[in-house]
Amino acid sequence: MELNNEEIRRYSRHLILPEVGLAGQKKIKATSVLCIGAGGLGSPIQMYLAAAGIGKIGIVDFDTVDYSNLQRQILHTDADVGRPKAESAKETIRGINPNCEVVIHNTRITSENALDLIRPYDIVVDGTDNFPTRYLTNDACVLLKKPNVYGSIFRFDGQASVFAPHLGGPCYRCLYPEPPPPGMVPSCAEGGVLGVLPGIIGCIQATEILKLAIGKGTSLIGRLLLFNALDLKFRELKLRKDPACPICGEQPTIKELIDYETFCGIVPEPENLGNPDEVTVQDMKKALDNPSLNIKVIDVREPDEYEIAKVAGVPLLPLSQLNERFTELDPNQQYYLHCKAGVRSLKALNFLKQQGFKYVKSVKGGITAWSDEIDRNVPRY
Amino acid sequence: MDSVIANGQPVAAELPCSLEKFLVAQKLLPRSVVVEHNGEAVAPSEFPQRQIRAGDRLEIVKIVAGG
Repeated sequence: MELNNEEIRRYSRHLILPEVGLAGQKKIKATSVLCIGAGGLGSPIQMYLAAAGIGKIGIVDFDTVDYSNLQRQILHTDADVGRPKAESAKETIRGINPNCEVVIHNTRITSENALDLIRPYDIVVDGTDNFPTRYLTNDACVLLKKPNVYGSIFRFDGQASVFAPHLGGPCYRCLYPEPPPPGMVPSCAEGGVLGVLPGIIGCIQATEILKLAIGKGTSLIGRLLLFNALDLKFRELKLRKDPACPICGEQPTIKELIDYETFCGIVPEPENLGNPDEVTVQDMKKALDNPSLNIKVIDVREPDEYEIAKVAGVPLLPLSQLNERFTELDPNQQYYLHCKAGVRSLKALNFLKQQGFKYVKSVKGGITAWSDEIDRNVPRY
Repeated sequence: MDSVIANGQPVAAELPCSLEKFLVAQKLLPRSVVVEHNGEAVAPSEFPQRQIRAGDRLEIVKIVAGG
C-alpha cells in the first residue's frame, strides 16, 4: 500500500505525527470500515474517517433523509431531503476525499445479510438507533471476530466503547444481556437529542477506529466512556467480560444469528387486521366535527410538545400526569387519545383500561398522521 | 435507613442486600444497566450474588439506543 504525492500532501499533518507517520497512514489506507447507519453518529464518523484516509468505507442504511434529520446529521444537506441516506452520504464523503472507496448498501441489515455485509471489512462501527440492530450488529461482530466500535446517544447523554471479545474485552451483551421491554427506553424521536451530541460521540468512535487501524494508544476496550453535554462532564466505567455472556461467555448459547425483532419483543402488527384499540385520524376528525357523537379527544403529549403543535379544540392531559389526574375523566365517557405517533397514547389507553375506563381508543399515528392526512398546517416535529 | 452513594448521591436502601435487589428497588431494569461497585466492574450475571453494604459507592448507567 503506497501513498502518491497528492496523498502525501493531503495527509501531511498525520505523517509528521510520530505515532502515525508514513507507516501508520498506510495502515489507515489499508483499513476498511463498515458503518451501520448514516445518521447522527454515522455523519461525523464517516466524514472524519474519509478525511483521515481510511481506504474503504461501507455504509448500510435503508432510510431516506428527512427534514428532522438535518439538525444533527451533517452528512446530508437541505437539498438531500427525500434521497436515500446511503447515496447522500457517499456524495459527501467523495467530496471530502475522492481517494476513499465508498460502498453503499441501501438496505436494512438483517439476520440474513449481516454476516455477508460485515465479513469483507476490518472494523464495524455501530451508529444505529434501535435495539434490534444493536444486538444484531454485536452478535454478528462476535461471531466474525470483528471489533465493534460502539456509540449511543439520548437527549444530552452519550456512551462509547469498543467491543472486541477476540481481543480480550467484553461485548455489548456482557453489558446488556437482554433488551429492555419495548417502550421502556424512549428513542431520540420520542425524547429528543441535542444536535451536536452525536458529533461528539461519533468523533470519539472515529478516534477509536483510527487507533485500531494504526495499533497505537489505549483503546476503549473494557471501558465505557460516558458524556453529559449539560454538565459538560466525561466519566468512565470499568467493564468486564461476563463469563455467563450468552454469545462470548464460557458456554455460549447463541451460535448463530437469531430473530432480533422477536428478541426485542417487537411484534409485527398484522397489516390489515389493525388493533381493535386503535382508531384513525379520520375517525378523530369525525369525532371533533360532530359533537353529537359525544366522543372527547385528549392529547396525552407533554406541554412543550403541545406548544409546538396542537389540534384545535383538543385539550392536553400529559401521560406523565395521568396517574394523578385520571380522576378528572369520566370512566363511562368515550375518549380518543392521541400523542405524537401513537405509542404513548396506547400506553395511556392501557393505563385507563386498568382504572376501569370502558370506551377509550388510541389514535393511530398521532398528530404526525393528522398533519400528513388531515391538516398540513399542523407542523410535524 | 442505611444508604449507598449512587452516582455521587446518597440513596436510602434496606442494607445489606444484593445488587440485583437494590436495582429493582430503584425501579431499574437489572439487565439494562451497567454497574461499577466500589470502583470495580460487575458483570450482570454477578448482580444476584453481589452484596452491597452501607456506604458503598455505585456508578450506574442506563442503556440508551439512539444514534
